[in-house]
Amino acid sequence: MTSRKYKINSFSPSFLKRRWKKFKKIKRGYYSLIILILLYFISLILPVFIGNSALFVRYNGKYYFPLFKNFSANEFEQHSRNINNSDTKLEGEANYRWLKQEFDEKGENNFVILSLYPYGPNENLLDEMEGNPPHPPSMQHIFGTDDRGRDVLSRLAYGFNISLSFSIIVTFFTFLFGFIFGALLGYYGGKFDFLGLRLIEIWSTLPVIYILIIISSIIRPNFFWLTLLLILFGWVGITYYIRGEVYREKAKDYTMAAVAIGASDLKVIFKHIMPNALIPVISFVPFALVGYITSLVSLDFLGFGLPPPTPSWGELISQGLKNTQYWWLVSAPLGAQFFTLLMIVFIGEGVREAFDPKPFSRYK
Amino acid sequence: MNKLLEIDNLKVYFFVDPLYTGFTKSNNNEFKSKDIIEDRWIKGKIPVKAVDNVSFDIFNGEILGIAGESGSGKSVTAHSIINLIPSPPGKILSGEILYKGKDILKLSKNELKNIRGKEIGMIFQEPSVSLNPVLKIKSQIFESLMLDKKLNKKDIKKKALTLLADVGITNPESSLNSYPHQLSGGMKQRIMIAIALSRNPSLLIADEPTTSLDVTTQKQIIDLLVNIKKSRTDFSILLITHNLGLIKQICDRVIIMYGGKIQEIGEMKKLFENPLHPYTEGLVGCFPDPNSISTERINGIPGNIPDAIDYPSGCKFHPRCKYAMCLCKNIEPELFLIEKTHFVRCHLYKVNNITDE
Amino acid sequence: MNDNNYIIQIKNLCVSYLTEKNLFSLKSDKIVAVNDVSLDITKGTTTGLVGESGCGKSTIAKAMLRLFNKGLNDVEIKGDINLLFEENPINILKLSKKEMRKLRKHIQIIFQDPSSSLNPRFTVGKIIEEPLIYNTSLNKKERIEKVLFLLEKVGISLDKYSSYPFEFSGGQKQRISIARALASGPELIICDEPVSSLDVSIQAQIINLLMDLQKDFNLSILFISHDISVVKQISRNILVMYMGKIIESGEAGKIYFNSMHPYTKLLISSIPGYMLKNETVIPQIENAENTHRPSACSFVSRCSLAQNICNENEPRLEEIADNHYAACFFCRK
Repeated sequence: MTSRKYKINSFSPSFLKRRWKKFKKIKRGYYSLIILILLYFISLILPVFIGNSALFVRYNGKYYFPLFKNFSANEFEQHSRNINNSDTKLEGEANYRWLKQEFDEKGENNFVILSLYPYGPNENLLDEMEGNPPHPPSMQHIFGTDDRGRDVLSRLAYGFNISLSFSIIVTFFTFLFGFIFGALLGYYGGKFDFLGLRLIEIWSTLPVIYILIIISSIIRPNFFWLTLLLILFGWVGITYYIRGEVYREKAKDYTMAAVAIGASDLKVIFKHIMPNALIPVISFVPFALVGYITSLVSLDFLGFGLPPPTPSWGELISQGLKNTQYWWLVSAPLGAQFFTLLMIVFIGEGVREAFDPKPFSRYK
Repeated sequence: MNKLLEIDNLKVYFFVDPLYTGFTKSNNNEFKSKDIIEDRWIKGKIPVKAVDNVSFDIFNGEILGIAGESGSGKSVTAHSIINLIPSPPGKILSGEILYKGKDILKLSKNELKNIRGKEIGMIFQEPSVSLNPVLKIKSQIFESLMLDKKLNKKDIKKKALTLLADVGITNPESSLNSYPHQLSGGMKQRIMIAIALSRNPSLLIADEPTTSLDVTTQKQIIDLLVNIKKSRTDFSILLITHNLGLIKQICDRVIIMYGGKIQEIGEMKKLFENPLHPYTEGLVGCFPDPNSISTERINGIPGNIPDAIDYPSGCKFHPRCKYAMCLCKNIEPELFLIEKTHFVRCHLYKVNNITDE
Repeated sequence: MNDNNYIIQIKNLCVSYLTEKNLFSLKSDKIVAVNDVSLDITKGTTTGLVGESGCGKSTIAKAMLRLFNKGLNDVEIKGDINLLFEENPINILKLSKKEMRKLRKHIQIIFQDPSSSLNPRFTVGKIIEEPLIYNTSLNKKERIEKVLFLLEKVGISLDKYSSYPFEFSGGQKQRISIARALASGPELIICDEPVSSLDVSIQAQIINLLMDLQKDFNLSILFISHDISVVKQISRNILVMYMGKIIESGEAGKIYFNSMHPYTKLLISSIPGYMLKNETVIPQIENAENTHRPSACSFVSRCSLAQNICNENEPRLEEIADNHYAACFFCRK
């Protein structure tokens, strides 16, 4: 490399870098993005922070990691500490909160390390609490419990992970398929475009919500099925948009120049047109996320979403609606949804500002 | 001759976000003048000195040409005459534009309405964009005529027909009922001229009126402008163009602009016979002589047009100037008077100036 | 004309665009953009092609490169375009898509609008390197050397290698376009209005640059423009087009000073600043509609010389003087 005749020492920030710089200047969006990413990463390792499994148990000289493997109550010879009858042997999975109390009382060498907030999303707490569910908020249960005695905060936190993961997956795949179809339709045009468009038009006239309801009343949809169904109906809109963008970029001279220097069709589409056609679409992504979170919540609310006992916001909201006198059941899930969506909308606003600026201007 | 319009020390800056420019040294260049810091949107933006201290007069009954390349500030000057600077990003920082003694920049929105169209008409470069595509030609001409409250409906139509005939449209009746897309570029520009003339303005600003037209149509439009000028008394035209050939054809006086400043003003004939400023000289040389043919290189101007964000120090033309001296790099020359009505902004003529006085 | 002297020869080229009639049917109308055009481009010279917008001059360029934006318009091409490749004429229009791609490096194009002809997401280095990747077997290091050599040739400072197009002015972008066109080592460069969107002082620079490069690389250039005053400066031969047909062709000097066709005369006399030399200029009938009947001279509606014969017959392109052709009944030998 030493034989090089010339030196290249300049550096210019690329398009995306400049846009990122602009985005960082929009404080609301930038901080929302940081908080949201942080929360999502926390939610990916949520059992460490919130959950009924202990992080670590030492019992009779042996070490257990219940986070990774379930242990039955027999393993620790655990006794029930039920409020009503306290001296039976506990069946099924170990209850680590009771185990901790037990160990503490006995004062032996055994110990348990619980998660920060030791209640699981699907765990029935009726055995431990007095009164009838739903229980109002208290020090132990910040947002109280729902009508089956499950901790609301825990359900919200797990619901956050599910909602966001769901919408991220759906958005990613709808954009991916939309992009591929849109690019091909736009680039090849002609009869292919004509027939493709008619097909898409027919597909998009299907009443999505009813079909989803019908399908989910036949098969109980799980996470996989629900994502698949929403992707199936979601890619159409983005296809239209990308097709238009590709048409526009295709008419620009640089595309022709790329063909003229001998680039193949795929190179032209994916190396030249794609990065340019994607720019205006980027600002749609946050709003698509908002849309899919909302649709999952509505499906759950109607009872056609994820199967119980999956922790979901929609299900909590519908509980709240049935029991409006229990204010925490209404305000907690709605508040969680509100703040999540608000943050994403802030991000979307910032992205749009950075990628697609339309400065305000007027004449006198 | 009487002065129709006086422009005095006009200064128009545009303020742009440093991220959208190729310019990276934003911090050194941030605008810090205290006078205008009350406008919050200016904070952190880089000023683009579009028009910097420009002063000139337009006399009654003349055709004045402003020539310059893109970014020279010629269009911005023309647009500020009727206060048509979009804000943000633009701002008229200082200056006076006296039209018949009234300062246009100080007028209220309502008073401006009476100047625009009625006193000063304007035509733009792109006739296909200037006309509204969903309205018939009829309603676009009538709209302007209806502002004159004295006319009734019949008169308006009559007036519109004569206007169209005046601008050389052969069948005015049918053109009135057509949509812009049904007309050719030349026809659209004629209609734009008709609309601009509809309220009898005494000044017509023509901003690159022929640039987007074919050569043969170009000629017709220019001939039309000359005829209009001849058929009216006390009617002035301000022609903005990058094409010196056009200016040579019809203008009485010429202003050469570069880098937001006037570089040379003079009568057309004198300026073309004896261009004083090196930039004018270069610009004249750039035009292949239409009356001869040679396959030799054209004497162009070397270098690039400077970015308005980052002008060179001293004389803005010095990096491209073949006569550049040490002085030019540091000190920007003033507009020196050469003889009556001929001014040049160049250090080469400073000596002259002193001996004259 | 000597047969082996050309780099590209177009014979009876007809190009028509088929437009979709309405949303639901695929039936179409036909717009003839280029009508029976034949032309030769001599090796190592510049040929100028002049005409108003919509006369079909860009369509010829697109046909030579087979660069049609299918989908928007279906295109019908008839005739032959023969490229002289290693002493053998190859008909470009008969090649398969793959064969055409291999030949593309021989014909390159420079577009009118410099800002849209460069991909905004690529650096300058990448833009010029791309044709080298497709058309040569150079390795990375050699490619960079070549890119830098080309940048130097077109007068772009070498430390702009990794800058993005938006950082350049129009003239500089056009220089980068020229470098990209040169990269694959073409024999013919088609310049489609290369200077019309540039400032005058920059126009002169680009034209000078093209002239220099032509000598250095022994290029043939097809220079397309609406401005005959620019074309006459750079071209050896000039072709004048009107409504899809060539109506006059010949050496630049002859066309410019001794034009025979009324349209050419009109074109020349319309140049701003052109001084008339006691020559009868053809006044134009204004605002005539350009409706073209197949059996009449296409210029008849705007021509003041028009007689009955012009309405009845269509003049053919005939030799009126040595190497000077015109299509008009009133300028025959």
